[in-house]
This record gives sequence, structure tokens and C-alpha cells, in this order.
Amino acid sequence: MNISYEWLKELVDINVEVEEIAKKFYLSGIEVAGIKETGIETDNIVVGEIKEIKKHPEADNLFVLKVDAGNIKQIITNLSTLKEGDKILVALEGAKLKSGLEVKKTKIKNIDSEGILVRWEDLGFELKGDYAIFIEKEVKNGKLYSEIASFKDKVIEVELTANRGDCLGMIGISREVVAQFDARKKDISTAYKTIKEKASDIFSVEINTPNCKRYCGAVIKNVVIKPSPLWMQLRLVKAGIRPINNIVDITNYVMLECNQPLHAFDMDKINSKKIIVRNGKKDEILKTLDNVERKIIEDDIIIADPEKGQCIGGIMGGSISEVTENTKNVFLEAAFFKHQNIRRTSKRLGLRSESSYRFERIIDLANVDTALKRALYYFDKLGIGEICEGIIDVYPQKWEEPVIKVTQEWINNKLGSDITSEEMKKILVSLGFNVKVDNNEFTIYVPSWRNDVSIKEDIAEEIARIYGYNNIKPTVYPSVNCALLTPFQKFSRDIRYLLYGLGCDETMNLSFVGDYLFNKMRLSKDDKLRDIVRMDIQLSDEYQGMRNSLIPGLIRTVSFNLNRQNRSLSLFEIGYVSKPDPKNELPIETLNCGVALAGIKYFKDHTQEEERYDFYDIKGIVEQIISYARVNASYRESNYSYLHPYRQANILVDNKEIGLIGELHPLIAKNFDIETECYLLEINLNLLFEYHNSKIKYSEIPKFPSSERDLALIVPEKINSETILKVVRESNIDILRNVRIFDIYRGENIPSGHYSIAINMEFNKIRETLTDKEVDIALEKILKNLESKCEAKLR
Amino acid sequence: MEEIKSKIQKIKEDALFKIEKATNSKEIEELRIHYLGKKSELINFSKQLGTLSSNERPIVGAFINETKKAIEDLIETKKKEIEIIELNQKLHSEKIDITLPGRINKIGVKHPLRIILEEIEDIFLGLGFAIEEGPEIDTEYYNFKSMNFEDDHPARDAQDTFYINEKVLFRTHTSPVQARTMHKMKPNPIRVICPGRVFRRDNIDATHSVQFHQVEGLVVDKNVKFSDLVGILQLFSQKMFGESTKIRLRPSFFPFTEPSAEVDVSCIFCMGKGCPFCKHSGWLEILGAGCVHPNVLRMGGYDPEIFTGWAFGMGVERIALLKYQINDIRLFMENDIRFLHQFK
Repeated sequence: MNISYEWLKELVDINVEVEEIAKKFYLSGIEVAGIKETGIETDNIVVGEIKEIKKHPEADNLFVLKVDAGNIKQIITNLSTLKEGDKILVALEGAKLKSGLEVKKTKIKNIDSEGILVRWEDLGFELKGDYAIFIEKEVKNGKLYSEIASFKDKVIEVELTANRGDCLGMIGISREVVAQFDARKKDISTAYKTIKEKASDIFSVEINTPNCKRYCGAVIKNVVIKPSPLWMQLRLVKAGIRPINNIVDITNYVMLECNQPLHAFDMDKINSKKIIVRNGKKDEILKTLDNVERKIIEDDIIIADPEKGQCIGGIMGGSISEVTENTKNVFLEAAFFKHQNIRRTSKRLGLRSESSYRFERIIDLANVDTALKRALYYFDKLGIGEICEGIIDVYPQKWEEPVIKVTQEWINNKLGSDITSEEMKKILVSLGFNVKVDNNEFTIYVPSWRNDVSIKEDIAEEIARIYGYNNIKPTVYPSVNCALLTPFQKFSRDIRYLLYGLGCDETMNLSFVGDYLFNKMRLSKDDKLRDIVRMDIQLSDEYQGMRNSLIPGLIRTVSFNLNRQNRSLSLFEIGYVSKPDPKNELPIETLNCGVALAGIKYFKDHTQEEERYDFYDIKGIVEQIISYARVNASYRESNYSYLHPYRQANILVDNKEIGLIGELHPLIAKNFDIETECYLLEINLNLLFEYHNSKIKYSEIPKFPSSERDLALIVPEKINSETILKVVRESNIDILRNVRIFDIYRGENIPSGHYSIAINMEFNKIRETLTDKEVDIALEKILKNLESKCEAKLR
Repeated sequence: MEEIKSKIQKIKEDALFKIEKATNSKEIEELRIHYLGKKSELINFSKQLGTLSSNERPIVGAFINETKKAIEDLIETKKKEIEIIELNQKLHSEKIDITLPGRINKIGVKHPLRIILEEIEDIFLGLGFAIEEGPEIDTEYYNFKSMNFEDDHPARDAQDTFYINEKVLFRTHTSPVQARTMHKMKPNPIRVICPGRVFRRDNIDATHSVQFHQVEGLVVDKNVKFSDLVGILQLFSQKMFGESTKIRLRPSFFPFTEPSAEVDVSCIFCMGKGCPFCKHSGWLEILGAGCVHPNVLRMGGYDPEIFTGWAFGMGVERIALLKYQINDIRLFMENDIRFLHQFK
């Protein structure tokens, strides 16, 4: 919404700078985007009458005009909509335009041109486009533009919140100014002359839908279509609306002033001179002003005559009854349509107009007729035609003034303020509320234009807003709440810190995934990763739904970084993923932890050789997380298609799958331009949390020395190291403190299909010295178990 | 006897002279063996003591012992001297370039948004606010209806939504967690913040994204006032942006609060004097806030005649962009490690 300072001063008696008004607006809830100055100062822009139009002999799209601008000038233009006899603004030699261009005599394709046709943007207005500025015929040729109307003005651009539809009209804005500056509102006239003939004798209106709450109409006969006066055009242009002709301009002008959209019909195109406001019919098609055939549904509000639909009410006029140059008689509509219907229709058809925008924000039901009369006032003032007596007003259910009762104490208690009852009343009255005070209890009557005010809290806001939010002294509400992270929040925070400590950088990846990624990962049609919660309208194949795993996002980020020559990557993300749940409305969301390692682990330097990440780096990270959670995990070979078939596993806790690790399949890596090994891990933290053990219990530190023993074994390949360690641990040796693998060997001296594994064991008794004999017995038992359960042989 | 004594004297002088001249521990050891070893002359003389008279024996014996002692002492002294010299030589040979870089065990970095999120969480934990989280995919009821968004109301325009179906959507703000918390906590007092990821349909560019993070705050109790909200936000802003930070409230509109406010913080760069970051206004728009709308309380299971409350919300990206002077919101999602590593 653009607010012309010059226009505002016509409505309010005020004498403060525009900047001051903008500042007050900003601090009282009307967001100000900026202040723009319009108009330029230059000579040599004058009114010219087109005497002759000829085609340029050497260019199809150019015309040679003879213009009487005091004296005859020849001007070349590309505008094709001009007629002989039109009066327009022309810039002659020496005129300086907004763009800085200075007009000079020139030749265009061998023909002299002594000036140019002025467009709005040439004069410093925002309205763009090759539109000539048409002037009323009464203005003398050659008259200086600045003598016809004032072009110089300041315009405040405001952005209104959705509740303040009432400020979409200059009168609404002026009410705010009155309240803010304690200023006086000027009266606006709705008086006009009429002919004897009654509008209701010529025309009739019937409302057949609850979605139209009021419909007013007026009849103007024998209209003369011409340009509107420049002052009116200027105000439209400053608001961003292009002037068309006097009738259309008045409808737009009154809309900008009174926040009441109007529509003018060519009355002679309306069958039976009767308007029926009704719901849309099944399979109805209506051709709108823009010559598009629109499919209508029942929810739409249709302005029809007894034969067919003419307009989509509140959205757009129809092409049949459009006002044209040949229009003789006009039927003028001012109506109130229900905001929900307008919003739905406008959204469905993708048609957003100044009119629908206002209806959506609810207009002033009680003043629909006032706005219509204001329009008639301008028909009269501009002498456009003969106004028939009376207006038609179909108003089935009158607006009822809402009443709110509230006490001074309640408001002060709500705000934590100390505002007097007199001050409260003054603020409300200045905003147009009627207020009765009885013993500090207010009975407040809400004006018809304030649809956003209906409860006590709204009144508190109105008072606080004008009183000034920043005049309310801050207080601190005491709290006895002992706020802590929940155990799960602490758990996930700890794991995050663990990962930082392990050298992983935290990423926050896009939650959206889609076929683009899945296809790149060569996932089969029924792969679990593709089972995502999908949006009804998808942006693109990259944005189809919510991720159900952190892995695709991590691969994308690894690829992104490698492509930018970042060669050492250890990344993680802790974030939510969603899995569709057919049994419930909402998907199952879990907090997952994903890690990706790729490329160089250590760069070569004076202390070490270059080292690249390998599988055991990612495995080590899993083990650190598992050890933090104090659970026992096991690993089961898995078969994810996007991972290296022989380097991947599920992570199991208590035989329940809580995650996976693996190396990215080289073919998939190639698809993502990942030219190095990439290792991945994902753990469901909610599941891990279920199994985790947060209890720490001290166990005594041995006071006696330990004994260590090594065993080198040859075992078949089918027996993995986890099994071997498990057999050792489960041999029921109470003096066994620790067991670890210290070598794996394949090759010479090892039979094929076998490998050598060397383990180290530490034995200890907490309260007494261990004897060699005890250790030997233990070792023998362990070895026996290994021989029988793992087919192991001493090497 | 004198002959023996002079021979011993000769050995002594010879030994002391040579030991004194020795320069390394190997030489010293050789000299020790030569003069004091089992086959040395002195030991030979000792063995020969028996051949002397009983008068001479003690005199010569004492002289031998005296000589041995003198040689031993000197060897000991010399040995220590040489050890120090040799150690110093060894240390010298071990000289390294202490300016060469050290071996770094890499430590991962926090994402810049995480830094801001944690700062906010920690401040509010200190102020007695617990942390509640809600689902990223939520129902239309929680996201809109429970937050007092009317059907077909233009207030919904500000939150262009990714729908799954008519009833389920990607949450457009963290406000639905307000309603979820109320349902969970009623009729007990509430004091929580709700951090989380939210989604809006938009075209991605330097200033727009389809996903970002918010932190919502909610207090519901008996007798809480608008001025308490101002007080908490002022405290928060001072802890977050510096003790001298001021706040300014401007009336605004959110369907779920009444009265509603936009909250500006005095510019963290120019301290309110005006600079390009605050577009010369001296203020930065950081938060939205207000008293919980009675309809929201009612739907949450609290009687608005007994309970009041207030809520606020802020954008984490917005704060991070300002605080670190980042000019492109896409950087947060790209996770280029050259970007991430700047936030150590």
C-alpha cells in the first residue's frame, strides 16, 4: 500500500513531516518499507494535441505524429493506441527526464523528431510501461505540465499485517494518523446531483447466496468516456494503478480511498437489467476481462444476469459487460463478499487483484453504500453523465455493532502497565471506538471497519499500541523452575560432543530428498530409502519429500566438498528423519546420527606419511559411540545395494538393528564424482538411547601385578574375529581382565582358506598375587574352547 | 722398600697425568682397567706385599691404598665431568626446529547454526526454561488451527506450506510445539523453549531458503503479564548480544498472540548509532512475540480466565547471518568445510 502525503493531507488536518508520520506508523504496527519522492523539475514538458498520425515510411512499428503543443511539432513514437484528437504530455527539446535523458531534436530513420511522448516513469513515478499520459480535452495545448497538477509528492510504502485490512484505504490510514497525532479528521462529501429517474425503476438486484452479504448499485446514464483529470490520475499512479478512463479510474480511486472495491458494468449488456448474485453452477464457464475462459465451481460468487454469468464477484469482471469507449449507460456495483470464498476462488484461479486482496482482508460492511455514494460524488464532480436518483441496496442481514466489556484493571494487569482510565478512553475514541465508562469498567462499541477487534485482548493491544509498547516497563517474572536437558537431550548432546572430539565436523544438510538422489544412488524401485513422506506438490525431483535417512544428504555433501577440492572430509550430522507409518497420520520421526569419512586422514608432513581413511576409522567411531552408551554391540553382514558388498554391516544391540556402517559402493561414488573411498555410518539415537546404560559404577583397581599371555592361532576364514573374542570372553575365566587382537596375518605358512590371528590376554586377581599355574590353567581352557568352537589351531 | 715406593709413586703420577688428560668415558674406562684392574701393576704390588718385611708391609700397603684411592677419586671426578660434556654433546646433536608445526589431532567443529542454537538454549536453561521438541512433519491442526489460524485467512499467506496431504504438512514454524506442550502439561505451568527445523515453500536464493531453524518460547501460568515478556526478552538479548543491548517493541500481528509485537535489538555492530547492517536505523529485527491468544490457551486446555501466557519466536539463521556477517543463507546447507572451519 502506497500512501501519498499530498492525498493524506486532504483527509487529515495535520502539519508534520512525512518522515515523522512514517516513523510513528513503524512503531505502531504499520511496517514502513520506505519513502519515495515523485515528480521531477524540468521545463519543456507540455500538453500536446495529436493532429495527425501517419505510419513511418521506413519502420513498421513507428508512427509520425503531428502534435499541436502550442505550435506544431513532429514527433515519432512506437505507441500504437493513440488517436487523432488525443491530448497527451510531450517532452520537447531541452526537457530533462527522470532517467537523466535530455530531450533533443533527432532523426529516426531519416525523419525528424522534435520531442518524445512522456511516460509516467519519465516523471519519476514507479509505474513502468509505454503508456502515454492522457490529458483532458479542456486543457489548452502548449500548457506547461507543472501548471496542470502537482507532480511532486512523497509516498510512504507500507506493508500491512493480515489483520489490518482497514488500512488498505486512505480513509483507514487517516484514522491511524488521527489517533497517532491527535489530529482532526476532515469530512469527505458524498453529495451529488441526480436526475428524476430512479435507479430502482431501471435496474434490480437479487442476492441468492449467503456468500454475498450486501450488494449496492447505482445507474449513470449517457456517460462520456474520456481521460480523468490529471490530479486523479496522479493519485492512481502513485498507488501503482494505471489510469484507463474516467469511469474505471473513479472505481479504482474510490477503492483506494474508501477500501471498497467497485465494479462498473456496461448496463446495456446486462439482460433484463437485473443482477442476480449467486453461487457458481456446475460446468459453468465465464470469460473474464483478460479474455480467458474460466471454469467456475459452486464455491465461486457469480454476478449474473438472468441469462448468464457476467463477473466473478470480487475477483474479476467479465468481458461481455466491460465498459468500453462505446458504453452509454453504466451500472456501478459496490458489494460485500465473504472473504473465505474470495480467497479460495482467487487462489484456485491464480487471480490476485487489488479487489480480491481487499475482500480477503474483510471490508467495511456498514459503509458499502457510503463508498458507492462517494463514487457518484465523483461522477457528478467530473461531469461524466446523469446519475439516477437513489441507490439500490440489498442488505439481508444488517451489521451488528460488537460490544466488548473490560475493566481498566484487567488491561493494566494484562500489560503490566499503569495506564489511567482517561488515557485508555482517549486512545479508543481516537481510533473510532465508542466508549462508555462506568466505574473504570469500559463498554466498548467496535466500529464496522475494525473486523480485527473482537475480544478484550484486542482492546489491550489497541491501547498498548497507541500508548507505546516501549513505554511499558519491563518486569521479570520470577521462576522457581529447575530447567535441565532431558536425559535424551543430554545423550544426544554428549554424542555430538564425542564426535567433535573424534574430529568430525558438524553439518546440517537439506531435509529434502527425491528421485534425483535415489537414482544417482542406483536404488531399486522398492529400496527402503525411497520410502519417504512425499509432498503433494513436489518442487522438483530433488525436493520430493522428507529424508528417512541421513546417508543421502551426507553423500551429497561429501560430493559437494570433494568437487571444491576439500580433500579431507570427516563429517557428521545429528538430525531428524521421518519414516512413513501407514498406521498413523504422522510418520515416525527419529533422531539419527550419521557420519561420513572420505579422502585423506593425515596429509604427509614432517611427522608422518599420508594416510587415507579406511573402514576401521568408521568402525572406531561406532565403537566410541557404543562405548559411550555402555552397551554391547555386534555386527552382522548386510546387503545395502549402495554399499561395498563386502564392506558393510548392521550394528546390533541386543540383537536389534540400530544402524549400519559401510563403504560407499565405488559405482555410486563415481556417480557422485567421489573419486576416493567414502565410509558411512548411521545410528538411530532413539533406539540406542533405549538400550543405553547411564549408570557408572566404580570397580576396584587391582593392587597386584597382572600377567599377560599371547596366543597366535590359525583359524578358518569363516570364523571372524568377533566370534573368537566372544569365545575367549565367554570361557568363564574370572581372572581374565582384558583381551585384544594385536595381529592378523594371511600368506606364507598359513594354509589356504585360513588366517592367523594373534591375541593378547591380561590376567589379574584383585586382592592377591596371581600364580603362573592359575594363568596356565586359564589359558589351557581358553585354547580348548577356541579349538572346539572356532576350529582354531595354535600357530 | 724405597724402590717399590718410588715405583708406585711413578705409577701414581703417570695415572693422574693420563686421567687428567682423558676426554671421553671410553678412555677413562680403559685407564681404570689399566691402573686399577685385576691385572694392573698396583694389584700386582699388593699381591707382592707378602714378600716384604712386617715393618715395611703396612707402610707399603698404606701407600698402595692411598694411591688407589687417589686414582679412584680422580677417575670418579673426571667421569662426572665427561658425562656432562658428553650429555651436552648428545643434546646438541638432538636440536630440532621448534618452529615446525605440531602434530594436530583434528577436533571437529560445531555448525554455526548449532553455536547459535546452543547459546540460545543455554541462556534459557539458565532462565528456567526446559527444552521441548516436536515433530518436523505435523498436522494442519497443530501447525495452523491450534495456533488460531482461521481457514482461508490471509495470515496463512506468510507461511507458504509444503503439504503431504490435506491434513499433514511440513511444519512452517515451531509454534505447533506450543500446543503440543500445552496438551502434555495442562493444567501445570509451562516454561519452555522449542528449537527446531521448519520449512516454507520458497525459491532458494541468497536470502531465501526452504528450510531454516527457529526457537520458540512459551510461558503459561497464572498472572503472567506482557511486561514480563519484555523483561525476559531484554534479559535474553543482553546475554545473547551483549550487556549494553537494548530492545524495542513494535506492534504486529500473529494469529496466536494478542497483543503481538516485533522485537528489535539495538544494532550489534554500531550499538544503535546506525550502520549499513541495520540499514542506518540502529535496530535489527530479531524476534516476534506476544501474549498467548485466549483461543490458543483454550485449545491447549487452559482456561484463559485463569491462565495467561506469552510466547516468542526467533530465526536462528537470521541471528547467525547477522552475528557472523554472512551474506548467503545457502552456505548453511551446503556445508563446505572451508565455511564450517571458520567457526572453531
